[in-house]
Amino acid sequence: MGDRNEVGGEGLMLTQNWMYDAIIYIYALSLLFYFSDFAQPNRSAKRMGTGLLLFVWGLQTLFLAGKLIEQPAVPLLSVLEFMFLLSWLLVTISLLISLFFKIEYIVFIVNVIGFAVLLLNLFSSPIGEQRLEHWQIVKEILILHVAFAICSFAAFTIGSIFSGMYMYLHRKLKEKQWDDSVRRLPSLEKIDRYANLSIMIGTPLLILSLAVAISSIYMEEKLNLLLDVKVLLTLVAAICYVYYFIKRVSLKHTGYRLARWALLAYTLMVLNFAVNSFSTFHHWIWE
Amino acid sequence: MHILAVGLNYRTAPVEVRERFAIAEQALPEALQQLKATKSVLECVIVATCNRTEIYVVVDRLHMCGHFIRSFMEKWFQIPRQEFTNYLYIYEDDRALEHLFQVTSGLDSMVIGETQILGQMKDAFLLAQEYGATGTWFNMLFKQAITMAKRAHAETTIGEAAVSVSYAAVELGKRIFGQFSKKKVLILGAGKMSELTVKHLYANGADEVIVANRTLTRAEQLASKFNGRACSIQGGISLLHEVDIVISSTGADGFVLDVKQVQESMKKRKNRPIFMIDIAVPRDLDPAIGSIPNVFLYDIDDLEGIVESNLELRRKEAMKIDAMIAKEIEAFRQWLKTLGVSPVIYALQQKSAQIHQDTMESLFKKLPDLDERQAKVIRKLTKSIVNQMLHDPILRIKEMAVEKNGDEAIEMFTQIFALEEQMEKAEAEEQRQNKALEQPSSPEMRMNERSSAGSKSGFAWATVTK
Repeated sequence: MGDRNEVGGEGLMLTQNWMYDAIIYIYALSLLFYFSDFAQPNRSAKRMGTGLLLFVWGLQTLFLAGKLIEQPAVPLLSVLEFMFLLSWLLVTISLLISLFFKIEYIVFIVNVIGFAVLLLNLFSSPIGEQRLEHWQIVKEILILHVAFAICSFAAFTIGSIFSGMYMYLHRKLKEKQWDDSVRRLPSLEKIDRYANLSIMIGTPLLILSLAVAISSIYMEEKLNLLLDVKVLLTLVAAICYVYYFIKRVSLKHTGYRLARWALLAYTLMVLNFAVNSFSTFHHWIWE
Repeated sequence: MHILAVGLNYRTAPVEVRERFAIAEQALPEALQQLKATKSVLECVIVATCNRTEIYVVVDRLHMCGHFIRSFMEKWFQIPRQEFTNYLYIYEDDRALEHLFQVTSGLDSMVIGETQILGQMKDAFLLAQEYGATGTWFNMLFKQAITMAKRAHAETTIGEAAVSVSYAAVELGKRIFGQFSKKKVLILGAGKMSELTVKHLYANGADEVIVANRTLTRAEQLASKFNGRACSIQGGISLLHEVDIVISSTGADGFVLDVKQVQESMKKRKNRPIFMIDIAVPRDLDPAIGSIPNVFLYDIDDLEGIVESNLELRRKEAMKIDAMIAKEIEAFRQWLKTLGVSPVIYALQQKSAQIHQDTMESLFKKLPDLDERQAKVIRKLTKSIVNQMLHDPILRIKEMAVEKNGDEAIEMFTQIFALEEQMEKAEAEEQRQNKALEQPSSPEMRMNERSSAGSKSGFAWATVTK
């Protein structure tokens, strides 16, 4: 994936890789169709968007498969690989949602994030291509740590979108603002159920990712790294999500407050992603 | 030929007039046959619903056809024309097409965007087709209108939003709970409106209905309709923590429920959402209840606001369908134009085939030694030359026929290829076929057939019973 960072190459080529370019252009086109449906219900535009998204997914899968054949290692150890895989995961989840559930807006919002991740990847510095392979710990453990993290991040992204939807619809219904978005969104009960399910998947994955990372730190005997800002922030986010479940089970909070809590936890997750520069050992992102 | 839509509907005629123009389902075939036999009528479809009676016809001329249709109506409904002429609308050609598409899509219905009319239009067309009352034009037009209406409903949200207060309450409930299975409904005051609302909720799967009323007998009566239970108003309020939906219309002077009572019940129900509908005037539920977390309180004005917003949405969607209709009318016009070119193309193909055949016969006479294979090759190659020569002119005339001066182009094409003779022959043949088709379908013939069939069966019956 190192060759995809030559922004503004020749003409309309964003990168030196035609497949990466095609993914970005088709993804953008698909989002435009979805946006048309988002702004005003338009089923044919939505169908078109889904078709293009399916094509994007196919290209992304081919791209990843190509990488695997090129270098027979799991493409996870650089920021670019991480982000590309996250984007692929979000596209996969959104396609599954559109296939099995009829939830308006969600596919568009998930893919706006998926596309943003791809674009961030495109405009990030080439120095970011440094891989984590310089770590001496067992490589398999490292891959496991990143894989769990990526999956939990995707699940939390979906969960936070549902939480945001919940807060939006709740406010609209409380304030009696009846409009097209209220008509099209799923019910509060359904949104709450999906948000809970996503967070329920994400939390154990995050804890597993943390556990793997902490055990590897022990193996490396670098205990001082436990006080690293990234480790601490991840711990806080994990605690927030656990607290979310405790409150949920205790039935003391309303759905609205739980949704707010879930969004707060997700903000910590995003912040966690952004503070890599301050981390002593996660500075593989945007150095 | 022209298309006409003649009829009366809920906009132009009150129900006491409309009911006099109702046609029973079993009488429709006879009505169709009489209409088809009416002077100037070539094709016809009759649509008879509770909101409209409409006659769609293809006529050979516009002059006097309104008079003929009115005569048919006068005769069939046994009502003098001066009694219904004021309620009648007559649309011609493009306006008639537009009306047909609008009716089929539900845009002309009382509840805009309803889909029942689509089924009724389809049935009316199929019946007319079954009885031979439709021909080339209506077979194409009605199929096109039905397909377009289906597409309009699939591609727009015109039929989705609720347009009555009781349905609006159900729609709101769906925004909160999704579905009503395992949901309990409490009715405070057994009024008509609350009965209608709970009827919709029950039909949508509400699990249990509790009716609380001042008069226990009335409560029991209503509860029995929904397999529910009855209790007093106070008894109902004490069950507040158990229920998910409250519909109140007691007619009491003051508030029946206040903030404190709801707050206490919310603690007991562990903050689960509750949907409260206050359709009483004066209101039964303290408006401050709406500020309690997870309580969704709506009064009659709120529900009417939703209905109005939904109607507005349907009107917006109707505009989209209007655009689709304009395209469909244009497509139908284009199709009509291609109808004019078909006989010309057919005549050209017939003429060329005849020339080819004559030439081949002459050639084989001059070259009698050709074996079968050689003759076949020559026939095939020369046929190919003819076809290739005709390919482009046919393609061009098809394109030119749908353009502005299409008729002139067809005329010129006929002259250039000297197709007049073939055209006349084809026309004469068509007329002969039409006559042959029309004869047995005339009402007199049918009556004769029916009576002879009747006498035959009567004879058979008599023979058996002897």
